[in-house]
Amino acid sequence: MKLKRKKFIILILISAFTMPLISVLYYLGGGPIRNFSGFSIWGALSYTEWIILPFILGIVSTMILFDDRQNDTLKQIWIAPVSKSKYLFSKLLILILFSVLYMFLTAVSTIGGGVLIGFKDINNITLGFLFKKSMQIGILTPLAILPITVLEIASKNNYIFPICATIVYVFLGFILIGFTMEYHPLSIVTAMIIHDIPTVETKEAINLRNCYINFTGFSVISFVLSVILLKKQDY
Amino acid sequence: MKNLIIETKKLNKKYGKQIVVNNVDLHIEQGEIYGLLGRNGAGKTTIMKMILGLVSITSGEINVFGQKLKGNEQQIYPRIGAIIETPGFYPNLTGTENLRIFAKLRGMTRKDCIKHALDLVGLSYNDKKLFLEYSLGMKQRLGIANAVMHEPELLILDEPTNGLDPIGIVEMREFIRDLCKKNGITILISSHILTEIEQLADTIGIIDHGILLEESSYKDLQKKNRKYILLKVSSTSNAIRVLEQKMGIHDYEVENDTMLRIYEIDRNMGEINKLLITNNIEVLSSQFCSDTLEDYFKNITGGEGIV
Amino acid sequence: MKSLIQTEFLKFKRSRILYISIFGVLIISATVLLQGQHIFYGEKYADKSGWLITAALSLGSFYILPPLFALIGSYSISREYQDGTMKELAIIPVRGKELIVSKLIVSFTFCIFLTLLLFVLELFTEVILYTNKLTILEMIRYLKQYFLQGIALFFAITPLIAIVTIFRKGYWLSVIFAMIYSFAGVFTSQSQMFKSIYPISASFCFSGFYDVSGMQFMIACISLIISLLIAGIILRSARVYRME
Repeated sequence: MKLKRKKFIILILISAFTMPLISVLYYLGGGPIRNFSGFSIWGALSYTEWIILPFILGIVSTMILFDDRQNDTLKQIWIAPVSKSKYLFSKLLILILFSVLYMFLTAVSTIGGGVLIGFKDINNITLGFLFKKSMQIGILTPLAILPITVLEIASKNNYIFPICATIVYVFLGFILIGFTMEYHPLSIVTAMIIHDIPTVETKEAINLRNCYINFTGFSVISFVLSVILLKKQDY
Repeated sequence: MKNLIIETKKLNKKYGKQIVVNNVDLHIEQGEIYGLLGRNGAGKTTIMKMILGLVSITSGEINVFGQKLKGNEQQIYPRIGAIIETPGFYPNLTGTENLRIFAKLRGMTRKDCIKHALDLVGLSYNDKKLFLEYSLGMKQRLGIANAVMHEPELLILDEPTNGLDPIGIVEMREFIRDLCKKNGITILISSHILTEIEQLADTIGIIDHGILLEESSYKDLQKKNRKYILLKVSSTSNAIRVLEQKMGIHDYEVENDTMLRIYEIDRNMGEINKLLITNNIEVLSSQFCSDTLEDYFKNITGGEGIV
Repeated sequence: MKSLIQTEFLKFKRSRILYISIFGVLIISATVLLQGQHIFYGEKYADKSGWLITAALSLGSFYILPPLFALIGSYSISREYQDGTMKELAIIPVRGKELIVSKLIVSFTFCIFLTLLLFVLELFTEVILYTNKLTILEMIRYLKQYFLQGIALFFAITPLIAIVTIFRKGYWLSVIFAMIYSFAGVFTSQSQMFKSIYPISASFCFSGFYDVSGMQFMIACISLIISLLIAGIILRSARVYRME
């Protein structure tokens, strides 16, 4: 509810059309897109998942936490009382909902782009693939952003550091895709998304088991650390 | 008639359909303390913001120092010091560093002006505390220091005692009085605290729901305040019956079962007491009183009091 | 204006944004170093003379520098609304447009500093760690590229900084848009037609990173000037001091 009437949210959601739009222009400019499956990968699964969505989620989560501190509503929340873990869990849930909505809009605009171009292979299978992968990204990416939450909470009233950290974190996750996908949460999300896409090749075979273990470990440790930090702070 | 430092003519401010300031005509004379009195949300701060250009004017005119404000802001504003709402400063800087920035922007070259301003408000020049560590009272003091640092001719203070402790409030009151009397600075001060305005203002403007209901000197307001005989009796209903029938007193007000106000103060209190006692009505106390500013405010705004 | 600029610098005292931005630049350098360990046809990328310097500029310009620049610029404007100091400045009075221009000038200075810091880091890495033999002329050429790239990138993102005067506390909106705006340059740089038109890729044409024709260089310059003009139009219509 706190996001209600925040016009920024609408503007951010509009950015869900970015990658599909770029993909359309890329295709028209002679880019290596042959069919709707390939177009879906560019429109919804590439830069959206690597850079745009994680970045937006990092910033939105900073904004949510910072707003509560700045408006002093955080004190009211603790007085209510609301437990620290419930508070964080609710924030995570909001992020996941927002993320899923964002990916849904991306998927819809990708379909729109595909229809505009006139791809012949838009059918139940390709659409199902697109939505399935979009929803996977929508749910996993907020969890991959949890390490940033630790920094946001540690920074208290400073929003600059978490934003910079988001830039660096997202950038590192993107670069590491080319090296190893098992250690950075965002790279792990990429691995989990692409492991069953036959047209995508990776430098090394993806060890899904390691990916799941590492991803779970990062998420759980980040969440627990965030709760501990919240408990230790003065208000 | 003294010079008018601030004069507004049919000043209006609308937000959509909501009228926040409604045809306000303010007259603030040179060298006086003008108290703008009203409840929270009455429009006091909005008027001040309009004078300072922080909020646009829907219609009307503002003259400051005898000039139209519009178009002459660059000449007028350097002669004004102000605090509006909570004073804003840079949290990563100390109080002195903050004032140094504003002094520089004002083109102030005197090196001691910052120290002088801080001394006036009781803050230390050499304090290493950052603004983000300041208490509410310290923030308010720094705001005052910033407002007076450049020796303005006009001060606009929006609830300046906000956040101050009782001693601080007294000191602030004396400080404001001194600024006006010793330095001849004209001060426009707003408050929702009656006693503050009562003790400070030469002229009081009472504003309610954006309308300036009254603009009088404090002396005139005191005169207007009704005087009455306050009686504490065993039964007001019996007392009224006797006073009406035997003395023809009709201008009165019943406060409760035992308290009664008689506004016909030319009547002899001794006679009233004697009449009531002889009619078996106990008189527990009787005294001359007059309405306070709060009573006057309640009457004029038709409300429950100032909140 | 001089005192405005001086006070803008003073406002950054003890501010963490500079340290954090420097950290961001260090990360670019570290990442490029990591990327340089890739082996291509039996040779590490980093062993090639000038590879680290060019890769850092490319990577930084597409992913990190524009959002960082947008953050610095929009932070300096947004903080006045956050801290409530905008009304104090209005009362002085400081002309709103002059205030914003002084902030842009100071932000520009920091951004050029960051770009040149990146250059120094890469030069150090090339010359000291990899003993790559760069001639003085090459060093000057790269320095020129970095300097011009920094200027061009800042020009390209000024419209995004300017929108903070409308969204006020929405500093992070400009950072998000800068991120998307900058990496879209990855695509436009692959198109002969769009690379000099789209401001981010046009910065590479302007700095000499890309070998372009005279016409493409002119178009790149016009594109960057248009970015500045758009920023100017946004600032003209902004009501910097209005509290409503």
